[in-house]
Amino acid sequence: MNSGLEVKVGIFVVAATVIIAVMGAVFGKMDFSRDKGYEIRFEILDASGINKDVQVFYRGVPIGTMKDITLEGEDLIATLILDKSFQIPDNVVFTVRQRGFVGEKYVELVRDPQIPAAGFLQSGQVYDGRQNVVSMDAVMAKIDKAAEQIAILVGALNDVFARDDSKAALNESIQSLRSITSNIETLIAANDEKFDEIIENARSLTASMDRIVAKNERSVDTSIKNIKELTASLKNFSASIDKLMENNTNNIDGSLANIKEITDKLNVAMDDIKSITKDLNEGKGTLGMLINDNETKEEVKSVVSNVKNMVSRVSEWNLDVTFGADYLFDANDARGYVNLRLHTTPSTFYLLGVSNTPRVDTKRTTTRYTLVTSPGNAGILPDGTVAFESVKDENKSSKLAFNLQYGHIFEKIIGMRVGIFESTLGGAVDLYPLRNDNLSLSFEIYDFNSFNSGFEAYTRAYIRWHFFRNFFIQAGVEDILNNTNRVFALGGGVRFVDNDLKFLAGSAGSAASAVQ
Amino acid sequence: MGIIKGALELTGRKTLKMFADAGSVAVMLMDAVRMIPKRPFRLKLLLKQIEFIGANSVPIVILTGIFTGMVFGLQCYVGFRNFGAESMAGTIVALAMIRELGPVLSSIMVAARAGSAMTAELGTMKVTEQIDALYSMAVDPVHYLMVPRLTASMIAMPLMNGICILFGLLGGYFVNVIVMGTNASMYYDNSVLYVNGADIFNSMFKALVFGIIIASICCYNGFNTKMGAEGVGKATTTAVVQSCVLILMFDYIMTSFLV
Repeated sequence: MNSGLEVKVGIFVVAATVIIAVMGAVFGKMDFSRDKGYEIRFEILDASGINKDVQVFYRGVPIGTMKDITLEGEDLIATLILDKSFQIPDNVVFTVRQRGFVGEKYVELVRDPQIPAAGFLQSGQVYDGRQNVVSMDAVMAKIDKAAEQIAILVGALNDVFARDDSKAALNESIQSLRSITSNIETLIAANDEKFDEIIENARSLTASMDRIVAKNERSVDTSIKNIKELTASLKNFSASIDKLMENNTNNIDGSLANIKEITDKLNVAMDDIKSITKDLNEGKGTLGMLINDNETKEEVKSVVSNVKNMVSRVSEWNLDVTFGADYLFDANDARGYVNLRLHTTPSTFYLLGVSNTPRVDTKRTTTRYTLVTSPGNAGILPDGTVAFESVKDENKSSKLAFNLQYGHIFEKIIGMRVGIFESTLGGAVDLYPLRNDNLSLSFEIYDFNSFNSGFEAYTRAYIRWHFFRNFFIQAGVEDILNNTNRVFALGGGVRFVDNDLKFLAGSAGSAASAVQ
Repeated sequence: MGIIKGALELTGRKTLKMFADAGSVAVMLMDAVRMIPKRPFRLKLLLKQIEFIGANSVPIVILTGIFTGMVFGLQCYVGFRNFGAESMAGTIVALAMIRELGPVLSSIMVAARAGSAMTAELGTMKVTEQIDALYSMAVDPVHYLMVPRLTASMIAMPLMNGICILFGLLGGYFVNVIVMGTNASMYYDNSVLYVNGADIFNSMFKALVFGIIIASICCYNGFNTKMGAEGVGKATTTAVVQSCVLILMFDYIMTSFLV
């Protein structure tokens, strides 16, 4: 037998059988899991519309299926199989619901807010379903009842209108209505334009009123309130005035005389002011010439404009203050410093600071001595003098030093600083690998007159890392070029940026006000 | 008068022939069914027929199923969109493919492809007197030729139906979920919700009956081919047409019993 044929047919049969089996399992909703869930029994009132295998929901989540509905004596028992992964509170009500108006029915377990839950539904227990029989069938029954009532009503109406006298009265009423309508129509036709005008005016007036009321609603309320308060105040004030008048009639007369005198003086002063103003307007006197001179006006404008520009630029400045300290390991010394860094632009800054420099400076003092002795002795100069020098090296350290530097940052990655470093001239290069000042590597060179072991400059290199927002640590090497004085340094500090300083200033102001 | 008489004669003759044919098909089918358990079991012939009717028809059935599912899914989507119930398209596609379209379309495709070939083969054997030769060798042509074809059709058709349904459902899913963006979970849930195991069983039963119809009609027409090569062509056409009509007729009859 052709084995290829057998394989081909075998594949076809197996594949198609598997397809059918899977479809059967899926659409047949076969459950192959061993865990069938737990069984809950509800005593219910009505099972109309529901049958075996309908889905059971709890708050919209499918939690199981209806296993069976049985009539045990007079009790109607619905047995549900609920998924073991769901714990349902035991205060639920067994409710039959319907999807849409024509959709299928399903069971929903609804929590009863009137009864607190004592626990969860337990397997095998029989619960009172407390079924709320508001099914679609019940709704339809109510609709039937309403239809019956409508039929009765219509019958009664028929009875009323079937009588001859009722019919005559109805006809008369209709005739009257027709006549009234006709009259109204005539009236409206005669006054059509006037009605339109009146309606238009009324509409316009209403719209205006609406607008005014809407616009001034709050103001009107406030005004009424203010008027009330004012009236009350005036009442009090009037009472006070009456009392005052009674007590001070004589004094008031004197005061009035004084007022008259003051008024006369004021009149004179006003005349003087009028005269001065006239002179100013006519350009008389230095001030008048200045005020009336156009050139002066332009200059004043220009000055104001420049001041405005300057203020605008100054408002863009940023200031940060750094307090820090470094411990120098081999020197058993430390450097403390405070630096103010003023950024006039994002890439330009000025640094002003003060520090106690631990730098060991050696000051060499050379003193030339000249002895006068008799000529001819060894070492004696022809003029009879002998000269020698006394060299004295003096080490100086931990002195207070100042920093005043100008810096510029190029492309956010490399910066240059020049100026005064610890009271000596110097320069520095800063590298910002992250293109911000969170991490920086700095190399500084200054004090070119140092005598430290023959190297005439003090150099230091350090790396600084800002963590959080205000804190930093730094580590580096001091006096790199000097073998004997080279030390390692480790330190840290705190930095307040512009916003912090503003906040601190604001808080300090508030605190001061509070104290006052 | 003569014309009327002639027309009545023609109608009567056609009706009698139709009943005679139906009776002959039924008798032949009964013979074949009776011979299925009889030896010798020609397994090789059976496998060959399963390959021809089933395995070789898989591509055309897949194409039919997938495009039917797609177009049906699209039409349902457009229709249900008017009510904001796009996800219900899955239900309709699943119900239609499983209950009706799967068995009917796969059977018609098999009738057109394999049934026609079956009739042509048997018809050629008939006009070249190979079937008479079988009689002369005491070999029952029904047992030798029809039983493997009938059995193969009965086995293959439900399987083809399964494949057609699967690809129809996939086609509908593709159009609705992938192309139109219907929620996949809702589409799947609605597809499964309203279909049950009985639908699958009924569908397979229909396919089995359609397989019997195809094999019976095509074998009968093949065995009764006359007038040489022209007769073979006629028999083939007749077989396909009769198979398709009977499939649709029996589909309605079975549905009315199964629903």
